[in-house]
Amino acid sequence: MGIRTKFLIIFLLISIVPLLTLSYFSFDYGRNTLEEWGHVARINEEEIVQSINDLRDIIFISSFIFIILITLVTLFFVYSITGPIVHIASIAGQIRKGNFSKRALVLSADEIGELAKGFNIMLDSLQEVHKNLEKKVHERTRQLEASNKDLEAFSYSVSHDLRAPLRAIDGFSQILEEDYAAKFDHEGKRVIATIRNSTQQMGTLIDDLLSFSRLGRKAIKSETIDMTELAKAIFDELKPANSKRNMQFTISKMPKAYADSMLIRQVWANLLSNAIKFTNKKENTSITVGSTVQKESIVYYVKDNGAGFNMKYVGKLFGVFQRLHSPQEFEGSGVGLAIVARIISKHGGNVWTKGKVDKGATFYFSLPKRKPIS
Amino acid sequence: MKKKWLYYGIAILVSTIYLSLSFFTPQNPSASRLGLSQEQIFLLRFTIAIPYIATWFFAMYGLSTLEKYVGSVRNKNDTITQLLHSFWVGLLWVAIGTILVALIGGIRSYFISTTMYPLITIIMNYLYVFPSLVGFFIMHRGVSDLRSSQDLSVYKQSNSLINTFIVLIISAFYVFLIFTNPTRQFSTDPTIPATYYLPDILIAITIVIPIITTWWLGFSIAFTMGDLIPYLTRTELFRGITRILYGIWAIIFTSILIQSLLSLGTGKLYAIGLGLLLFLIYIFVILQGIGYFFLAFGANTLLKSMKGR
Repeated sequence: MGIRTKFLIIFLLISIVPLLTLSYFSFDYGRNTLEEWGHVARINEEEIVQSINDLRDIIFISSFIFIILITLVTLFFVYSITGPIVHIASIAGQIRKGNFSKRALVLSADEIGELAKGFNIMLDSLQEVHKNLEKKVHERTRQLEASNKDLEAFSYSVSHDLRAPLRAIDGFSQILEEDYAAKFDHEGKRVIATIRNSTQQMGTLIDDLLSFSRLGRKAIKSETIDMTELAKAIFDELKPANSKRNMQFTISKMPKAYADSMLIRQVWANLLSNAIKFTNKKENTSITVGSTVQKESIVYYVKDNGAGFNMKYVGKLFGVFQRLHSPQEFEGSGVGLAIVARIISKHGGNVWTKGKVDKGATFYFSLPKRKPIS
Repeated sequence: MKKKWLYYGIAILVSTIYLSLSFFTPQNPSASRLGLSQEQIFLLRFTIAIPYIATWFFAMYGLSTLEKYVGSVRNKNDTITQLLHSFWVGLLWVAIGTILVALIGGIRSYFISTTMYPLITIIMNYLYVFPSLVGFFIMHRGVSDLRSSQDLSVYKQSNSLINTFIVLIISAFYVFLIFTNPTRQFSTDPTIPATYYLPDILIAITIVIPIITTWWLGFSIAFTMGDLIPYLTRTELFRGITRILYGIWAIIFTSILIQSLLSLGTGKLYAIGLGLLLFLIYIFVILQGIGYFFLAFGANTLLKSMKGR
């Protein structure tokens, strides 16, 4: 309720008292007789009643005119006092929306005029600070973008350049393994096999690192995606063909998303492959895919009953090369979830997870309902 | 410049007619009830006629200036300009109604105790009602266009509940006054003329309902204007339109006051005594003068802002 409405309501409430008084006179108006009076002298009844009624007429008309005038004066008062205040409030509203060029009109030389002047001085300072801040933010963003670009270029070239010597190591160790196997004893063969395993593992790491760094440069091409169909198709591709375990996959109907289909495919692939991987030690596996609709976003999730994790280390999960399990327990490079986090972040969404050791984990990601911020 | 003199010409012409009608009018038999001599009546008429004529000049000055302002604005499609244009047309209707009522009132005093008197009274009463209704309707349409226009959608909608509440209270008293007036349809006393010379049903349909509608429109216009003004971003526009708003408030309350006085009936007005009666008449004339003075003042402020640009 605005200040003006409050003023008017207070005024109306105050007016009720004289109005009710006036109403009392009005309802009793013109009905006077001498029935309730004691006759003390022989006077013309009509004459007395007439004078009383004339007096009531005067009171009634005077009160009515008084109320009319008071109402008018109040309206003048309310509008002249509140007009400049509501004006300053309207300017404040526009400033809140980011229009820093607006200034309050200085309409009088009184306290409200001083308030408007002070408000404008404050806005000048605020605009100056905002301008400087924007300049600084712009400069910092530019610097960050440059260093980010350098970092991406560096990680890309490092990964790319590492591949050539690695391929040579792998190739030559393969030659050694295949062509000179007879010349090696058991220990020599074990060492060669270890070299090959390590180079292949490093190759996987480099591949993941390359795809992670490529994500930074990739532009988002948004389109409408049927998330239910996509998740189902990816699970069918990833599920082990000849598994002996009892794998129960449940998927509920999910809302469509507006995002880059290639990147979202990668997200589902990483999350579902993780779910399959971390449940492989269980005989009865349960993987559930679903969603919840929130005010501004849609949250999708993948829940499993696998190895789970200790919530103490939840902060590390989405970092590059961060692993909570040894490669012997569960293979992998530790880049998958970092890729998921980066893709979702690029779409303006969030990722988070909940888990318990040996009880399973649930990975959530949200996507904005409408066009995402790139 | 020519238009301005046309307005002044009209004001001079009607003032001359009004003064002539007022000062050469035959003696009113009901004046004897107040115990006034012919000279005293003449003096009273003079003290009422002068501020009344001044009001017309304020009105003509305000309307000519407002027309000039609206005509000189480059962007005629601007919502504020369109609103002020509707105000100019609407207030012109209200002012014409006021002037015509005064002239017909002057003419009526020549026909007291004739068969023409009731007819002239009926015409006069309708002149009180319909030009104002048309005027406020035009202004309200301008305000409604402003409300619905896209670029002004940020403006708050005025509190129509408060508007309706105020009008209801005033209307209740007004209706009470009309229907407790014993001489509203006819009068048995030859010195007290009837107020309306109409049956109750016609009083209700053709007087009461249009009057209450006019007040409702007036309050709605004023409340919406009050909501719009704080969003104006030019000092002169803010000041000019605020003054016009004050003028509209005063004109609305003048209408309430005059209708209330009329509804009392001549008999009751005589009964309250000359002092209070004169006080009420002066209040009415002054209030009307204030209304048109603020209109002129506001229009002048707007025009000055145009010259300063």
